Amino acid sequence: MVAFIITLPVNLQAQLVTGCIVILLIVFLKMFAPEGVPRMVALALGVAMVSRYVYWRTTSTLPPMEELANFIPAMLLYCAEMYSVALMALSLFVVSSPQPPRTAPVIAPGREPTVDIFVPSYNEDAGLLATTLAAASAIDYPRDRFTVWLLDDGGTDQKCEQHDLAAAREAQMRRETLTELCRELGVNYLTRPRNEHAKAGNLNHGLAHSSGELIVVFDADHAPARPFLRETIGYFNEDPRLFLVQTPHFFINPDPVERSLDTWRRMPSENEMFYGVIQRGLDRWGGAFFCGSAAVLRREALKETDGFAHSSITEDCETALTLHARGWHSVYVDTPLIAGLQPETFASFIGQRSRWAQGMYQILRFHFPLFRSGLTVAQRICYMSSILFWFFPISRAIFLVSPFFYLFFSLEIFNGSGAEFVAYTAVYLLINLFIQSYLYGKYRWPWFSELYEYIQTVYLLPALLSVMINPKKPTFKVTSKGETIDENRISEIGIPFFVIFVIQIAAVFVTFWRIATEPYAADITIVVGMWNLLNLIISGCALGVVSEKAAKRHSQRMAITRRCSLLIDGVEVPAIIDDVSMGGVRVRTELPSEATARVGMHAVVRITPPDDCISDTLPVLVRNVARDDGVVVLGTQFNAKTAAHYQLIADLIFANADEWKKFQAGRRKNPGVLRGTVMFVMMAGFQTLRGLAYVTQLERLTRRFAPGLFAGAHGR
Amino acid sequence: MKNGPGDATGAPFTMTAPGPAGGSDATSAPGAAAPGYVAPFQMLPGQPVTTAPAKAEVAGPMVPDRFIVPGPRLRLEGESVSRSWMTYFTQQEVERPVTLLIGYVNAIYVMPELSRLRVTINGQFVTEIAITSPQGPTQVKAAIPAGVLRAGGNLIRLDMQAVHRTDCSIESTYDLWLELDNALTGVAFAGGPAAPPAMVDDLPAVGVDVRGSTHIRFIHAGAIEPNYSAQVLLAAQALALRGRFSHPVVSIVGPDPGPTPPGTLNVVLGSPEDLRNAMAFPPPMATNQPLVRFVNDSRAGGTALVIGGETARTVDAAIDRLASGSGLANDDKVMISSRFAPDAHFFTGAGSVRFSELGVTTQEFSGRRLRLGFPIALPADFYGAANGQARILLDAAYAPSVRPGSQLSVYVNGSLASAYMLTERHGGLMERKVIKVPLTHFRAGINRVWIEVMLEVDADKICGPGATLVRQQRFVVFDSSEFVMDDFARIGTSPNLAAFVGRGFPYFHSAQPVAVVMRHDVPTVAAAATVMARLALAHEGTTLVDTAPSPASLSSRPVLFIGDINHIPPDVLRQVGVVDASKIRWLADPANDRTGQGTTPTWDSAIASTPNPAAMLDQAVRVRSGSGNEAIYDRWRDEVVSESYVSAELLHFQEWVSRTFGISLGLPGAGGGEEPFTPPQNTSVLMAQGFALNSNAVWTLIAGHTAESLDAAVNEFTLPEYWVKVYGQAAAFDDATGQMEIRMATDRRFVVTQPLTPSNLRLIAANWLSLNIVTYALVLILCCIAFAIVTSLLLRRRAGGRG
Repeated sequence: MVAFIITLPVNLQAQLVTGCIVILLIVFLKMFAPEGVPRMVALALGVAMVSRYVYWRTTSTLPPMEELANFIPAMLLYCAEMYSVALMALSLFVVSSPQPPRTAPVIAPGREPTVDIFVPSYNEDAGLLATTLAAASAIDYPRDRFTVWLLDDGGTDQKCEQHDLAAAREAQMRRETLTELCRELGVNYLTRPRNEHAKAGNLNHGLAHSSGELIVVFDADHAPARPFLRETIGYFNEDPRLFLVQTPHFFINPDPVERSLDTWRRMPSENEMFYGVIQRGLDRWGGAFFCGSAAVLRREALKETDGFAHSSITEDCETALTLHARGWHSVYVDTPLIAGLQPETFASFIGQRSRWAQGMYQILRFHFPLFRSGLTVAQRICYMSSILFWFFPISRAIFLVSPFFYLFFSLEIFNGSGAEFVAYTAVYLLINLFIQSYLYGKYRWPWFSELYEYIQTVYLLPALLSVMINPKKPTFKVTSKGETIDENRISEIGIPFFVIFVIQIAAVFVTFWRIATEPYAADITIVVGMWNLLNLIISGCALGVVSEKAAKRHSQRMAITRRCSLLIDGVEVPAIIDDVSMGGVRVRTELPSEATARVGMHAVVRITPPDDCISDTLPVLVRNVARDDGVVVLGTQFNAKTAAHYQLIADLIFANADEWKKFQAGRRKNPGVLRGTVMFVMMAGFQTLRGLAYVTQLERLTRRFAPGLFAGAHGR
Repeated sequence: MKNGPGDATGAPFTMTAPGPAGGSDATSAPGAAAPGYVAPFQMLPGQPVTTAPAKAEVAGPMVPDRFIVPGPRLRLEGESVSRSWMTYFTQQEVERPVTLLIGYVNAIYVMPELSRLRVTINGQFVTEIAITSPQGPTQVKAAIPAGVLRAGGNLIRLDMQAVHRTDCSIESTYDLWLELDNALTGVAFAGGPAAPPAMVDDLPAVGVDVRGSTHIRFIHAGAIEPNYSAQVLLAAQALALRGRFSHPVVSIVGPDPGPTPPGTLNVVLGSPEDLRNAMAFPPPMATNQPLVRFVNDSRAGGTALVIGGETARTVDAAIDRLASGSGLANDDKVMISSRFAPDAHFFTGAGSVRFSELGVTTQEFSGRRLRLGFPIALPADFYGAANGQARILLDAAYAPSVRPGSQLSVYVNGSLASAYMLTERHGGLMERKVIKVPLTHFRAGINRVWIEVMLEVDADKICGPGATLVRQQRFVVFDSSEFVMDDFARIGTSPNLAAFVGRGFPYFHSAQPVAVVMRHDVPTVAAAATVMARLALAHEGTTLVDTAPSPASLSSRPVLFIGDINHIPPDVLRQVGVVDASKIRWLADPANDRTGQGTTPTWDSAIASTPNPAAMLDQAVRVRSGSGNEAIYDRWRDEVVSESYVSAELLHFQEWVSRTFGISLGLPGAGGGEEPFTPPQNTSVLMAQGFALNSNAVWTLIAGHTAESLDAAVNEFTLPEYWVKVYGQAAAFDDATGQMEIRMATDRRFVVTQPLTPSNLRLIAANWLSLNIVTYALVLILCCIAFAIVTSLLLRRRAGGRG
């Protein structure tokens, strides 16, 4: 019956009216009854109209095969569209009813399984590692039931004995420093002879040298909150076939896009769509997969597969796929329990995404989940959905260049009249927007998916094509984190975006020229011109993304409220810690008259230490001083000297994950399609100007004469 | 019959008095060539100049022995136009030397040096004349070479190439026309008129009169009994079919009707007694033997066809024998070629037909406006107008000189159905270019499709001296192009006058004899017989007639009511949705007002003949909905709103929306409503369809003011030019102006005619839901709700199983 209705060849008028009614109904449902059956109804309506579009698009818009010059680009565009629709269908299945929040099962005292916490590292500096290891050691769990391991791949025998003497010396130094750090923190340092199989090999080496029932993996920059194990271990006692409990990756610094666009505090991060909706959806179908860090795994399960898989460069997803296929279960806990760092620069961001895209393609190639025996049908669909997503660079590139085919070369790649375009394509596009907003509205604002996909496409497309040609070639490259950007600049890989932008501007001129000189074809030209304009807006926004601002702060501040005492200028006074970041704390206090606070002074913050910490004092440097009605607010920088200091820092930052949750919840607001679109267009306009100012060096001038104009005042 | 068949006073051009017949025989002798007419220019390059025996010559006008123009007026309009039709000849006729006579007049704008009219018969060249007669009709004579004409059907084809004297604009092409003078056009046989047809197989050779009609003259003495009128109605159908008459007109006259004018068939019909009363020497009749034979009888107007039998049943058998020999067994054609050749292609579902089969030849064109037309026939139960689609796969090319933006339009039944822009800057080659044609304007029966190409060329804008002399090829369309019909829904609907006039639906699709309720007087029966003959041609079959149905049976079968309005029972008027007879205001004496011929359309101009392409919408047909206020409202709105720029833009957008999607945003209450139809006061024929009370039996009314005026107007109304324009629930025809007022059907009922296969049901649903959009949206939404609930339940159950 549904198929009958969908394929019914009613006339354009009926299609248009029905489309409008459906859109209104979806909007209505979204506003007044966003959950349960009404949500299903809205999704079904959207699916019905999209299906009608697909049917129409397939049966009546393709140019005949005889016109090869039209046919080939037309088929490319058609395939790109169908890919988008197929991916939307898969996503709809995945997120049809996401897993509701779980309550962690209580672990009976004395029945706590033994846990090995692995912190694999390759080149991260000691300070970063110290924080993570300190936080890991401070986890709320019987101390005799868990062991923390630093798995160092930067100090392997191979590295220490390499022929480059300087590098070899550096590796030896690293091994010494870290061994000392680990000793102080009570953490096991482990390295290995050779750097085989990258991260997976490192973890497997750790597996071979440890014996805990459960394995926890934290990336070097992923510091856990104290309740991490309490929130995750219980599930393993409940389900003996459980191999994985994954938790979300919560980041305490903005990614390059968020930093450039200055959206970090008000808009959900990019990965929240994945961890907020999609992983829950996957979990609902028993397909939540391992994301490389912030997860607990069962050694027994890993033994079956000889440890972590390493045929692809995304070992995490591959491992999960293999174990799912062997009948093991997984659980996803939607509570941020670790805080990590995102790549700081656009280039490292792209490097990270290239690895994901290539790795996912390798999994597709080596495991093809759709036909993988052992998986349930739902799991197969889930994995296909996650993997196929990474083909977006191809479709996005086609959407990007398709308008040029018509505007520059007059190819007719879409056989349809203006009326048909309105009745079918416009309705389809609108419904697409509304359905996306319906599904992910809280987690992803309108048009930001397009922006993120576009900025990745330029570099992921070659990466993807290269792995498609040579699937064995890519090797694991560690994403660098904790970098800093010292001055405003265009990203070293930002130039192509400006080139594309210029071509699109040219296309805009061609649009007007063609409307003026070919008024008889104005309707099609306008439609294609609008399409190009949309691409241009996104592309303009991307200019802002690659125009990187100098980063003042290592990480963003988290608001906390914690009593402490402050030793400064020879006095000790009670104080309140207002917020904390990876770099320092802000302390509010009232100073007696004999004491003053000045920038550059050394001070000490004394807090109640965690159980096993040998120190309760944390040295800091005063970085700025603000007075307000006798109250002094000091901005301070950590001046950690010993492992104990790192334990205190970790305690300050990671003691309580509730703050993170509150912070995330504060950003999760659905602006709606209309407001979201307006906001995006305004932001894109500003970012375009900022990008152009950077590239023309105008920015340096304005910085001198009108400071703050491009400093990101927008939206504050 | 008041208008005698030979009455030529209504012919449009009679300035040149026809000379005595045969008086100019000598001029047709070969060798007497007139110097000006030896084709100085050729129409198609590369063809040798044809000389004798096809020399055209002028002399005093001759009266043709047989008229050949298939219609009251034949007008060729435009730069490159052709028209063909079939004319039938007997063996005796083709054995004689034959001269073709072409009488014509043309527009003053036609440049004689370059404009040509070429006549071919059966594909063989007969003559080519320069078009030089703007002042008044000129007659051109050309001997038809021996062997060109053959007994039976002969395809006569006219091709006109016309060039404007001064103007190069597209608008100027509307000024180019040539019109045949019916009275001067025809064939003359050496030695005077040939004997009239004497064999049943030669019936088509009865030919046409000066207005293109064929008169079936029943000779009958005494009062008309219902039994006799039933036989007349049946015989008229059989004769129309067997004779392939394009416009049969039935009359009933008493014995001794006088000489038989051209295009007239005398028929004596009935029992031995009827024959005895009407004839001097009735042929003997064998018991139980049907009689169908031509005889010569002094009282029956000379040669007459006798259809007789001892009993009524034998007479029916005789008629049946006549009809069964018509040989119209071609399923994929509808016979219209005696008016417009070739026959219309008949689509009963998806299919395609090449232009070559539609009579459209490959044409290279050097002018500005090219029109190509072809007919498409659809079944009575065609139900795809709301959503169906046809496609033209066009093989064509245009020269680099053609400016982009030139337009190719497709018109269906006079309405713009589809437009395609030629957009390439340097000429274009279109191979199977898909031009989608929505079926919106298609109807059951014969549909006329026109492709019109308007070529804009820079040279035409300048139009320097002698510019019109340059003949550079600009456009070519190949006969390998195709017309492709997609599958359409098939289910009968009533009321639906288009299906009635187009295919005789539902009367000819019923197993029962058609009940005809009428008064049995001469004009009413003649009018009824004319209508039945027309319907038989439309349906390509005959149906039995019951002229004395029992009143009780009227509510259970399709009934045709024919007659003057005052004798139509009020119940019938109510059921067919027409106001009470007393409320209809007729003109004082419509019969005397008839000046129809002057405005009679030509086949081509019936669709459109106005220079404004935007006004191509059939001007002769006005569609009336409920209040009839829309036109006035639109005009006021346009005037009021156009003051402000913004609202003008809004209006522009709204117009685009309503034009493109047919969605009206303003003026509610446009639906027809249930109020009865009031025909305008100059109505001469009123046709309306409805249902019997409390039943689904279709009732159709054909009424006029008086029986005589009805008979006269029906003769005009059944002209194919008018007949094909009828649709909707009710139509009022004014024979003086040719205007037709249509009332659309509101309450339509379905009649299952085809098996309701899934695919047919799907198409029916698609069409119905396209008309009932909100229902479609509701169905879609309900389906989605059901789907969503089922999915939710499944998901919940699965979650329960897991938890």
